[in-house]
Amino acid sequence: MSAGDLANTATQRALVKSFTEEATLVFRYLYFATIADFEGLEGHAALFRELAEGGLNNVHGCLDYLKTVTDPDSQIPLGDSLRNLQSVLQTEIQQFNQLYPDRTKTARHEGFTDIASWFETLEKLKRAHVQKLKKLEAPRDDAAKPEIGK
Amino acid sequence: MTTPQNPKSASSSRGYAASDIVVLSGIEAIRKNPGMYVGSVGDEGAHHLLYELVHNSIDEAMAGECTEIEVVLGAGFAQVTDNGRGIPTEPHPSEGIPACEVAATRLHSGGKFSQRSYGQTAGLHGLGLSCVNALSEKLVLEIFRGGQHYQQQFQRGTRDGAPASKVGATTHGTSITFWPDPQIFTTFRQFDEQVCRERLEELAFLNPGIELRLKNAASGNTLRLKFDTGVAGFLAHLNTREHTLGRDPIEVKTGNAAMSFHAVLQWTTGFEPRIRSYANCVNTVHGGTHVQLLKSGVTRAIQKLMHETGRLNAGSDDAISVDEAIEGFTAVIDLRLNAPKFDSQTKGRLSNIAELASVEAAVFEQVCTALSGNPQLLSMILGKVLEARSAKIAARRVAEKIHFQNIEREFDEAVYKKQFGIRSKNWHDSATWITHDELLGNHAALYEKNDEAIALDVCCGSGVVGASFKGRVKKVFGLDLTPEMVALAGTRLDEVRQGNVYKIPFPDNTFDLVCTREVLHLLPYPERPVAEILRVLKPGGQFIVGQCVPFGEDDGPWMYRIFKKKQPLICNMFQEEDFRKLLLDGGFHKLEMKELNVWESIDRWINSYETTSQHRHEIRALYHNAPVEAKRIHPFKILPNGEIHDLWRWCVYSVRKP
Repeated sequence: MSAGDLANTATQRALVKSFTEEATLVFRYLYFATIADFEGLEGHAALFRELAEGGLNNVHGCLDYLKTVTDPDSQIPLGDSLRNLQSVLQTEIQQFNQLYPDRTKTARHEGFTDIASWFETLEKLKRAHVQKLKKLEAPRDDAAKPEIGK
Repeated sequence: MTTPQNPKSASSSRGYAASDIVVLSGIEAIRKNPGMYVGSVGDEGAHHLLYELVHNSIDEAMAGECTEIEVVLGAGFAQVTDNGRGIPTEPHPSEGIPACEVAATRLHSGGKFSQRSYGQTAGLHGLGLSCVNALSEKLVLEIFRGGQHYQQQFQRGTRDGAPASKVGATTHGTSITFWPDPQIFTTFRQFDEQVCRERLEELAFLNPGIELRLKNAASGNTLRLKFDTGVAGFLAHLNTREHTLGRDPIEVKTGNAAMSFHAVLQWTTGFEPRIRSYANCVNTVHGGTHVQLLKSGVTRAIQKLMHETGRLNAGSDDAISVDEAIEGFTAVIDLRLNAPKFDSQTKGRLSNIAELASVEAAVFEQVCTALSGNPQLLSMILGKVLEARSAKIAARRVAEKIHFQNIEREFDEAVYKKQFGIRSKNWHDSATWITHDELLGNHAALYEKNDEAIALDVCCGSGVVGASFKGRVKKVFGLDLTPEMVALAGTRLDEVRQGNVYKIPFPDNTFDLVCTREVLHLLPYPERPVAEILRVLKPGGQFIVGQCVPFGEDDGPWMYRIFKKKQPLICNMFQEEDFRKLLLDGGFHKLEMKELNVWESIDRWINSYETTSQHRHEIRALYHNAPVEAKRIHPFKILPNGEIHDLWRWCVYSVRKP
């Protein structure tokens, strides 16, 4: 089987799952290292950071294959920066337009007002990210033109 | 116990000659990669140059060869003068140029490689003078030695003209004047006198009998720093504003042929542990082995004493954790060792292990002995540690309760009463903003004077905001949830009532003015207190409210985490437009806003009951690892001594009831 046939296979699904697991692991390790620092457990902290660094390589290793099919989140084909920009823009726009507002509502409905405020804070950050990314999207010869939404 | 030995005496009679300057390699690398040598190319890096020279003089003092060090600060330059032996000026045996020129222009050269001229040293092992020279636009080296006055100038690390030498010098020593290179330190303008003063002060305490002077070139004012009280005096100085447990600190001393360890320790009624650690007089701001071993020895001693006195059960109770044992703990560590190893060239963290093997056991034994012999102090300290443990559990409960109360849609007074009641003990010391005159002035400035007005300060705390309107209104009432704050505010306001902002105990249309500050972010469903405030205001009445908000969207999530870790009761991280909307949607109109940025001391702000030691640690880490997107819009600074100062964006709003 060649790499071109990876789409819609169980192997592709396994790669997406590995990508998510490994990415989650990296950030858990980094978070846990801060706690180990506080507890004075330097050996724990050092190993956690080392494994996080290695984990990053594992995450990218999964993307090496997935990029031949689609982005694991946006389902947009990956490739050069122009395409990759579309991929992250789609996620950030969706987070800003729909996901975080929904999550805010849920948290507020269940009485977690502080967590609702956290989601709102992230929603606003996503709005800022979208604006920054859209600036990259504008073709160079159009750079002088006023931006949409301003 | 091993008797501390001080190997410095062994070197004091040694000569210091041109052949002692060992050449290892060239110098150009420094200018290419200055951050690697002095940490940064910001103000901190420029200050590091000065510290390198001061440490070279301190090394002379530690070798018993120097008694006075003077630092002069001028416009864009500094001068360091000592009365030591003077850097050798004779021709270097292998280089054929004066030895001092070798020291100033060759990397890894200097007197500290040969082990003959110095015992223990603080300087950068040969990077010192050459590194300062490489990163200085201009450097003037003057040496008084053997009746000669020798002078040589350098430009960006290379010699500028021939050296001049004349006879007739009656003194001895080295004087170096340098101008940090603006090509490297692009933002540097001048040395910070306060920062330099603190650095010299600690060196004066660590080296009793040595006089350090700090002179301002423009004003001619000179500050003399000479202390005989050593590290104990230093700790007492650091604890001037604290309430210490017991009058005298506990002393720990140990040593061997390779090192001597001397520490003084004392607990206070505060929360944030403050450990100042030095290795050969270098301030190890990020700690290292010596700090770890002290903490570990102290924790083990506390654990043993808890069991011995029956306060904790060895079988059933959890072991004492380091953070519990060192809450409110203060210490100064003065470690001298022959071969200090640091994690980086800027020496923030000590990494020697083998030489310090005996330290943990010595700390454990000596703390146990000192406390066993002083039952009163022992009882206070163990009580403090148990209090830290119960506060940690209570903080966890607050975080749990805040969810619970939201589900019930009931405002749980008890949680807030406990948190703010305890904080009332040192309310005015707990943050800069509380009594900041200009900020209070901004609240008062938005008010339209009316001698007949009746005002209400809601969630008034100590009443400072309400008091800022006094003399411009007829009467100021206060309202607070906690009896402790009601008592405190009673000294400032005309009448203070205990009560809840969700149900303000006054009839409709009572007040001409309602004020509050930094409160609404703590309250779930803030629209409800806003509606209550609208209710008690007369038509046309004014609501003045101050709130600290993020600079924008990019620092919001970062600030949210900092504030939430500081105060678990926080429910809302308002952006400026959110706060505006809250007031206008609440039925107010005629909105005006004044903005003021105020520097807040984070160390002071987090030294508080409501912040657990783990959260204090995490808040520091958040500043150290702040996201670039947040840093771009939100200024804060981490000083060379590790203190954090954050710029807070205060918005003060005025709105009216239609």
